[in-house]
Amino acid sequence: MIPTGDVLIVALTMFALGLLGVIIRRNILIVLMSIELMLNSVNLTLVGFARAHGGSVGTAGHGFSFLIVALAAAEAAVGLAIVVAVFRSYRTVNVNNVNLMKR
Amino acid sequence: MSFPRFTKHAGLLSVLLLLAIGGTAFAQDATLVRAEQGNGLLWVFRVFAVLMLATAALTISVRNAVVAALCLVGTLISTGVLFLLLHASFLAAIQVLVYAGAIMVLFVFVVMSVGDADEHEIGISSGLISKILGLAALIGVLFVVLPQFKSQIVPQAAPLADTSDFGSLKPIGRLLFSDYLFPFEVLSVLLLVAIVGAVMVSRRRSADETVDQGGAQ
Repeated sequence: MIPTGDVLIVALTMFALGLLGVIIRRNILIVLMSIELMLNSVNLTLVGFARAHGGSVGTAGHGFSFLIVALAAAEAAVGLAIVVAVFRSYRTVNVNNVNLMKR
Repeated sequence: MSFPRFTKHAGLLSVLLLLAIGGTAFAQDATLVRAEQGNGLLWVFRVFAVLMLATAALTISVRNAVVAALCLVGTLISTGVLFLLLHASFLAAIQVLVYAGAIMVLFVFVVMSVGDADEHEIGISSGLISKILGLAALIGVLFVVLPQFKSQIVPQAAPLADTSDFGSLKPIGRLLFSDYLFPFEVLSVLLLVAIVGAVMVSRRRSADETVDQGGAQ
């Protein structure tokens, strides 16, 4: 049996890695990938707690996790559309060079 | 041109991916056969947890965005294996189909269409402040919060019966279409809004202008 604490440790480490990626990377695409990492680690936490509680509470956790996956798909679609639009006008994906609302 | 760099990593990455896929099959097999006995599953968990964290670290550290996307696929598949080990078989399937399939295809598509013209200049942020801030966040989270997790507050899992359908499609579907019907429908509207918004945002500005000129004439 897998201890819940170990699952939480792994998920927290992945969340911290995603946060680190958002802070230190300058490529917009990799920043978006880091956000996906953070969403993924939250899902892992939910599934870990769902396994620990079991029953109908655990099933609710799985349902919530499913909703988060769909939300991540929407977020990726909009985020990547913004990346494409930014690249079209700026010709770069470096977040430090993108500082104007209109160009 | 970053193609040679990509081929340098490609062998390692394909080995990792094959390991993840093989491990998925093994974990499923082990879950079915051994049903939570012994600590064999614990070792599967540890191996895939390490694989997941290693590929996550590669995702945020490699310069080539395509390599980062492939590493992220490894992370997501390893997470799917962990879901299987935690008796979330439906979510494991969704994870591989939606995340590792659809979302990552979208990512790779955009990475390749955006191109890597200035990729070699875009690495880790050169600002000292952001590096310090990032490392402080990582270390703070790991060393302040982690010790709490070994305490008694964390609930421990009870063994499941072999006939339990916990984590399968049926109970989750029943729940989503009864108690959680409203969030479910709101989410479907959100997905529709996201699709329309993505098309609106990423549409070509020049095409828009020609349409306007055509209307004016």
